Amino acid sequence: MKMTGDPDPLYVTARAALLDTLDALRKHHDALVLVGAQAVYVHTGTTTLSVAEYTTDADFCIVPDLLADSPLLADRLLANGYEIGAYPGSWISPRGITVDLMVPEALAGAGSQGARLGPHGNRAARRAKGLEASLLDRQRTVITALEPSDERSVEIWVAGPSALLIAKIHEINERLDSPDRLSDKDALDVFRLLQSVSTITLSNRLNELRTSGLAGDVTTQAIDILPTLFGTRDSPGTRMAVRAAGEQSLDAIIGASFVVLVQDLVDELAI
Amino acid sequence: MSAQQVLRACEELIKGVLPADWNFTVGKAQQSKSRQFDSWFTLTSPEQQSVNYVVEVKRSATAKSIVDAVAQLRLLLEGREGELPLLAAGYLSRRSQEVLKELDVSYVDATGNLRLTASSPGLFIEVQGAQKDPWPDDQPLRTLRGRGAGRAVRALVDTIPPYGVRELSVRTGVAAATLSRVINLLERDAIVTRDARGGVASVDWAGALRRWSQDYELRRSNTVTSYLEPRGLEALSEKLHDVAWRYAVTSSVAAQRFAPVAPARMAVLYVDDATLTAKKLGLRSTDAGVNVLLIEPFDEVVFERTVERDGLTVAAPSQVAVDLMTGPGREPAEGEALIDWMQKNEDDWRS
Repeated sequence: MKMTGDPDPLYVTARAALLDTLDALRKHHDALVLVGAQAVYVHTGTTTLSVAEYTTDADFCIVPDLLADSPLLADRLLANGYEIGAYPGSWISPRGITVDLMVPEALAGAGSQGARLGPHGNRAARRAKGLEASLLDRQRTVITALEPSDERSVEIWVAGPSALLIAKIHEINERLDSPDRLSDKDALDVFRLLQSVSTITLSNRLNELRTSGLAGDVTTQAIDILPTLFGTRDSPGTRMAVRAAGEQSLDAIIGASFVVLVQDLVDELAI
Repeated sequence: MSAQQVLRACEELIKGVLPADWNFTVGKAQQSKSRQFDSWFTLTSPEQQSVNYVVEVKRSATAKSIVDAVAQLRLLLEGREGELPLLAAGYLSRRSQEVLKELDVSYVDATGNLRLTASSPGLFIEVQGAQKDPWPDDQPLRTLRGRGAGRAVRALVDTIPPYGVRELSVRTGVAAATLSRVINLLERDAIVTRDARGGVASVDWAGALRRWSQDYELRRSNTVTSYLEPRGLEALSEKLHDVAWRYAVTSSVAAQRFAPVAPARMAVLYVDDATLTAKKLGLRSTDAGVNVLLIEPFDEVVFERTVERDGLTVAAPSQVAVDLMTGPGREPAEGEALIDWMQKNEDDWRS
């Protein structure tokens, strides 16, 4: 019961910025995994929920082992007109879209913000907790432009739904004390993932991930946090998602659906 | 039953109960500008003594209308010796018969209830007929609330006139009597016009739907159960694509297939068994947050003239329109938008 139509213009720009970044980092595609909101939408599509609050950031997880020493990430981005953002790993594309380069905390070396990436330095990418699973749960996906005049199309790694779920849960949990609209949006993304992907698919992959060496800890933690964030209609995460949807008439439906889907997943994982 | 049919039946009944040596004749009804009586019965005894009954025919009669009719008859008969009032009706309830006995008025109904009295020649015949009205529908219809009425309105709206009542009955499977009553009601409301032979000449179908919506209400006229599809309405649509059992989508989700207004918030489905359907579709019972209504319908007609759109079985536009018109929030506005579409695309849904 989808309303088809042209995608939100902001979404079109965000996708174009994503492709710009892939153009700029052409030599490093194998070391990049698309994560974040744009990866979520690869799995969920534009659902019936409003896309007006769309997160336009293009988020990439970097696999340090696969990252070639040259060309340097910073060189390529600066040469293509990107500006250095407020935090390590944060870049502003010429279209005004923020591009975040991140390294899973377990692989980011010492330090508190910038990831240690050898010749690429400590400021090209930042460390982020919860991204470990995106190195294991990922799939090759062709990303195309949304503008008819833009014929670009690139096959890259895109994090799978379970990896994205884990990353989002950690992200929301870390910002729980200072919630903002971005967290609300992340909570809505969790809801969209739960809605779009079957419970059994998510639980099978989560079960694999929680026994893995690289992502076992973050996966187990995420599964433990899940009911705290979204267990009831009044849980903080549930309320965030409802707020982000911003459609009063849908509040009760989103809240109730979220709780049901989380409970289904928790039940399935307990088996 | 028409007045003529009532009269014929009553004449036969009287002939049947009179002693063999009595004679029964029917006089011509008084034809004057101000119609006086419906008929005139003369009963003659073997001694050639006659009693004249002035007959008033009532297709349907309530005790109240009988009292009025008798007063009228008495007024007409004032000063006319040898003429007695007789009330003929399709059916007279026990109460109506009591009233007539009290008033000492002879009566006969088409089911065989009969009481004839006269003092000169002396006559007393009393026979009991039906104790329940076999044609309870003969009262003029006042509401379109019922199941039969709903079927009849659907038939009248969905079928392009002209047509005779019997023809429409055959085409749509709606009883002719039910159609007649609904046509009468809609004719009184100037929604239906008839041709000279009593057939339906034209139907203001939008008017008929609006009139129906005054008496019908999706959420009250049917059995409604609320559910939650936690994966959203799009997921529900996907699940409905391949089902082998009968259903029909109505309300906003259906209207979108014809005249898209805004994304639907609530899926409304006609189904045969709500509990079983909920189980098959994986819907959840919920105390808060409802996005699916499963409806066990007032009548099978909701499954008639359905159309396939986007892999969904969608109820007939006429059904969807009336369901929306009686819904909450912005649904009535969506109903009007659908009627606009129906006006512009009459060939697509009417035949």
